Amino acid sequence: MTQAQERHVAVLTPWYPDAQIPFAGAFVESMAAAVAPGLDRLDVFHTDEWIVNASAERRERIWDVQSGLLPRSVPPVKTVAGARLHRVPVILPKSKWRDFAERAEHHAHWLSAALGGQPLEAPVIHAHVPIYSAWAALQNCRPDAQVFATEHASFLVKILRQPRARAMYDEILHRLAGFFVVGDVLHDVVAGTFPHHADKIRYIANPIDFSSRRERPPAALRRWLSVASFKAGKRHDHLLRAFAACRADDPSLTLTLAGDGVLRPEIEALCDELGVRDAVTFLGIVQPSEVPGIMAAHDLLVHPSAFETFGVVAVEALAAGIPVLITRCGGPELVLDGIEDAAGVMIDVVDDPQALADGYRLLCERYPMKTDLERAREHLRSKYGYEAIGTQYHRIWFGENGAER
Amino acid sequence: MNVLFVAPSGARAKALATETRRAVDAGHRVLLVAEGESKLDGHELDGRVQTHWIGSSRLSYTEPRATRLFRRRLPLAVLRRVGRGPLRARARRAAKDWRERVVAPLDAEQKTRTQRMRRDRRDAVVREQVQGWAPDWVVLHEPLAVEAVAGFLPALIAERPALRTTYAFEELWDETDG
Repeated sequence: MTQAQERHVAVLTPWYPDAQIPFAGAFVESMAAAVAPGLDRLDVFHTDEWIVNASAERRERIWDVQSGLLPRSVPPVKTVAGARLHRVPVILPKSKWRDFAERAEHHAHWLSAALGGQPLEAPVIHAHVPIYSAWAALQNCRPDAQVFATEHASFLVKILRQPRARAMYDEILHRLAGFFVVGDVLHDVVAGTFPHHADKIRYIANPIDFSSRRERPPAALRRWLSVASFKAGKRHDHLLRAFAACRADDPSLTLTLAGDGVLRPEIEALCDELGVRDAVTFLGIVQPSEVPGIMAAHDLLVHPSAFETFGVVAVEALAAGIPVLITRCGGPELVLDGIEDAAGVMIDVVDDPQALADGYRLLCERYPMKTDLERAREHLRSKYGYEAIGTQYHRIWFGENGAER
Repeated sequence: MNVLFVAPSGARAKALATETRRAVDAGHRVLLVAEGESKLDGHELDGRVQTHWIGSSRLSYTEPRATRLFRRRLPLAVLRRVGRGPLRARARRAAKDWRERVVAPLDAEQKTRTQRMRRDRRDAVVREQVQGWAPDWVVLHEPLAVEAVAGFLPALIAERPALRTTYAFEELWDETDG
């Protein structure tokens, strides 16, 4: 593609923030904000699943009416960085189990209906997740369009267990101009299932907002913060036990928990059992846009997770200007490779909360003289900042000189 | 503009509260047609939003008294009485059989008729509001909204092509944004 051609890109996604779930697909919104500068036009198509629980006769009536209404009912609406957002409801019959291939066909069908049967105008399309969006893109693109896709799905293994979905995935990989994953785990799953496509798999990170930060680095590491959903792998029990142990030495310590989930009653009970309830604040679910401000209002991010594909919170914490105490649980050690000591302290994943408490004491000894938050932040900004990731996407879509305009 | 939100079940209650507020903030007159306040799951509506509650969940089909007496109560009462004597096991089996073959289909019929009554009420109320309130913009906020307007909206659009239809209330993109 030459520079003279219009730089028009369409992004397809099954997740995008809306008024009902403002944090769903926040990473796609970030990607749109990162890539929009330097493009002539960016269209985001959010194919949003609407489940219909109705008899076959009633379903048919809804399907007919929806086919007529869709082309006139999805005007572009405002989103980040001047991009145009199209919300396309994908109506689906209720079913007992999730047939991923069938759902992908529904996404393709309703996108086609919304486009009035015309192909997507953009010559470059980037789909977030092959099933469903890349399939919908491939079924609705211009013959000369280039379609790229990124795999993020935490349920990828379930998709690939279904023979029809696996065959569809294989076909998608054949037809894509480029395929990306956000971490090693997804890479290994895709490469293991489709060894003949292993060479095609490349990495790309989700962009992180580095535009705001604390005015000054924390003077002391007293206000702990955790940003994680309340589920077993995040190991809030280790966090609370380590916090209680450290607070026994320093009663001024506080802990803020941002997130929610099924384990909340157990976590609250453990706070009571450890006698730290007064020092722990539960924020509940927070909007992605609130995270930088919350990070900046604390002194330290503590993240004792057992497993992470990427470890976005570590980058967000350093972007906000606070150090991290985090486990080597897959993603974080890759993200912080070369800046481990500058960023804070990393500990191994061991089944003993004492390791976390020891990590905190070590960090207190080393902070601030033996850390370098500024260097860590700059290193991460050059890798994961909007500008860096935007440039990377432009090169992918428009060739090596694609970032230049 | 007159903006009418059709959200029979209030399935996306949080979005409904946010988007109706957004619409009144933008200076529109807003009417919400939904099942009832209790379905909004605690998400408070802006005081400027007009509401029309469908209230179909209060409706339920009432069986004819003869059916209730002769096909439900009386046979089971007789079998209960018989079951107090030496034919206890046979009476229990017969009662079980009666419940499966007669009472269960009656229950199913009652459920179907109740659903139909509620649906008819919902569709009638939505039709009445859409046609009577003269909206400029109809927001079909959930799948049931599409079903509720299926019988009349295509014809209304043919009559009034300028009528805007969307699935959410969001600020429209225009050339100055790009």
